[in-house]
Amino acid sequence: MKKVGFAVLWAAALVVCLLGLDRALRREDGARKYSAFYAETQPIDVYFLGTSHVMDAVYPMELWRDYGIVSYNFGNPAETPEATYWTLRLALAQNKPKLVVMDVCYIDRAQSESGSAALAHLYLDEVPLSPEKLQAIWSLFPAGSRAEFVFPLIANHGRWEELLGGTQDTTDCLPCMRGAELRVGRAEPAPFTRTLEADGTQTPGKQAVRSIIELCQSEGIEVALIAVPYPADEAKQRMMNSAQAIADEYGIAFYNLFDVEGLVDFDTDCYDAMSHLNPDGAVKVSIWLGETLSAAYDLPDRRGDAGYAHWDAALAEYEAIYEREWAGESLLTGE
Amino acid sequence: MLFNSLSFLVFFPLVVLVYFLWPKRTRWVWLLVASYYFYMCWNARYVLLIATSTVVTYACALGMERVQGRGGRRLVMLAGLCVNLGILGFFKYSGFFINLLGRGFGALGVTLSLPQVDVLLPVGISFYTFQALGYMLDVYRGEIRAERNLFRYALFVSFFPQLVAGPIERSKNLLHQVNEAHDFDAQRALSGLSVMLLGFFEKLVIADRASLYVSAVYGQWQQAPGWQIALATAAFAFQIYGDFSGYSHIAIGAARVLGYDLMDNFRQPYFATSVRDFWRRWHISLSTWFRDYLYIPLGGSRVSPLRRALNVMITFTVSGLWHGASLNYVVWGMLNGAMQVIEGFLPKPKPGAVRRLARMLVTFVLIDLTFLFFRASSLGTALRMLRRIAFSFGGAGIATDFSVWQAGVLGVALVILLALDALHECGHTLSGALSAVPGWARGALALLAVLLIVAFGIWGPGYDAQAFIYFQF
Repeated sequence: MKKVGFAVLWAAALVVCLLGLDRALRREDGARKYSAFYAETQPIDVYFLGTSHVMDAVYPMELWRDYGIVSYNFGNPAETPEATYWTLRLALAQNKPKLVVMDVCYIDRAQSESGSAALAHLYLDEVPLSPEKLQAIWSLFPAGSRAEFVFPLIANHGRWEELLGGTQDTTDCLPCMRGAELRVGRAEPAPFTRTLEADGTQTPGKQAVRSIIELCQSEGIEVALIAVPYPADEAKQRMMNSAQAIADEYGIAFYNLFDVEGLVDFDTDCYDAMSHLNPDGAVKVSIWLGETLSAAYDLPDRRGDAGYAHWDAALAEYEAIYEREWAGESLLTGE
Repeated sequence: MLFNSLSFLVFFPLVVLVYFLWPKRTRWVWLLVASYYFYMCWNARYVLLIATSTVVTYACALGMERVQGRGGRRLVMLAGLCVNLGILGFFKYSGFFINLLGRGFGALGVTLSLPQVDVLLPVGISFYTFQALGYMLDVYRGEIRAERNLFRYALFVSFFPQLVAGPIERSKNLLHQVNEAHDFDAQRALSGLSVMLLGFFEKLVIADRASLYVSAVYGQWQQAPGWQIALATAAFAFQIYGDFSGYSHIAIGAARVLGYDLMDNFRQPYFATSVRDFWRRWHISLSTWFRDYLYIPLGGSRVSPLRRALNVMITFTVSGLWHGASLNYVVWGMLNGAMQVIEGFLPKPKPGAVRRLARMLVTFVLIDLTFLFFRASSLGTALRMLRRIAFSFGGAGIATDFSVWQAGVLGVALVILLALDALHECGHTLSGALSAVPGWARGALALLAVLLIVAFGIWGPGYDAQAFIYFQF
């Protein structure tokens, strides 16, 4: 009996140590992105979902400061709509928003072809283990690579070298950004020609967008689609333009920001040549969204609400970071 | 299924749990099922080969006991040898010999249109074939009685811990254990798990980390200076030791948990003071197999010096060929044989600690030199690499991803491994050394060991769970 007791104690100690090791070696970017969401005790009214384009283009703190909209940015690098469906489902387990805004940049991608396991750790590792999370893992990943999402230590155990070597991961995403990413830089954009054509090819990504819309509608949540502008090639634009047909199918709004005259200037607002917006572009998009969403949806202005005092603290932190990292470079100064 | 895979971490505890819950008298049946499943995880179709080898050697052994007269028994034994070596030869050596034949005729100016044999080498075929043949030869010599129960015998051939990379067990050691009932023994299980832990340490922390550097340098040896090739070859000596000794330890430990004792396969090989001494310590189950079933039947050492030298050369050339169907393995075996022949003519070494240390170093360098032939992709490559070591030794090394941190971890792990070997060389064991330590402290040490292996071992995604090197043989 004593031996059994010792074995049980030893196994328990092993589990505790492994959990500790898991936490110590966990990538920090996931925690930085989601810690504020899982710590939030007050309702969050708007979710922005999709790829890194939306992650870099929508700053919830801009929406909070100017419109009192409480939002969270769930955009993740290279996230396919199939993965986004699960990001939403897992986020709904924590909080039910009034509005979901879904980025359609990757509606041409299938999870089975381009779902990145390494990047998926960003949106899955911080989500507490639950039957729904297991369902997400089983749905998104092939049999051989599921275990690493159930036990992230399997993927992260070699990170000691990264930590010791000082080459730690970063997505410039801090808790006060509420999921958004501040990417500082200005790049010369790739050549861009706008097309209004749409590619009607059906893809797993489009099907997943439909599933997201249906999920929201079944939960009584308003939903809208968005295409964030960047110097996309014409094939990509045609695919994003085709989201209008889906929006029409469900009678929801599609904010195709490529067509908003004068909103973004690629010559000044790109962080990198082919894709993401820098803070100037992001602030422009955020302000436009604040204006548009507060007019189109019944979103409460929660400024001054005592329960959201910590949002003011986060805003101050965000403004300090913006001031330090970007204000000197910004061409918006004085506008 | 690899020992260093997550599947094995599920498979093994499950097998152990069911094994000890299973009725004692038929536990071997469960082990047989588990062993065949284990083998089929690689390639289900190749289970037919192991089944064929099992049935043939089983039938031949029974036949030898029933056939009257030495000639008849010899005939049955030869038939069994032909079938088993025929299967091994077809799957492992047909391509090699066809290639040699083509090159031989090509050298004479004759172009032959020979068939191309492109078959997947069945995992562990050399191991289980030799184990089954050893049993058959033991029955032929009258050293053991033939096993009557085909399925028990099938477990002897396919016992999963040592099925694919040894130790190549002897019928006298393993077969009777198949027929015994094994109770759960907590002390024994703990001991087995500790040995497995050591195996995982050797494989994941030493072998697979060393392989990062070795593969990087061997992969672009044309650009690497001689010193870097020599360093990578030294690292390979520890990679292959960690890899194979690690596998053996996991096998021995797993068997011990199940109540079985497997033979030791390594005994501090880099503490050897001569090449002959090295082969008494390295891959012991194979060395003794060749000694008992090839070297001694050839006449062993009780013959003239010239004949003895020939026997050594034959034995090690065959050993080289056993390791791989390639000329570099053959040359590797011949070099090891030749060095032992030369050693036989050298004067007896003088005693003394410093001299002993010097002999150990010289032996390591010689063995490591032969490992270059073992690791190189071909004989020509090995010779060209040797030329770089001899004539282009200096210069800047090629860049690899092997960081200073990785080198540090590997260095510390090697110090631990060699310290453990030194302890064993002095006649002590780790368990003996820890026996005075309180149980909770031993538990804490084991916990620390697991965590260090988890953190510093090479495993998981991003790491292509490498097959153990000896699986290919």
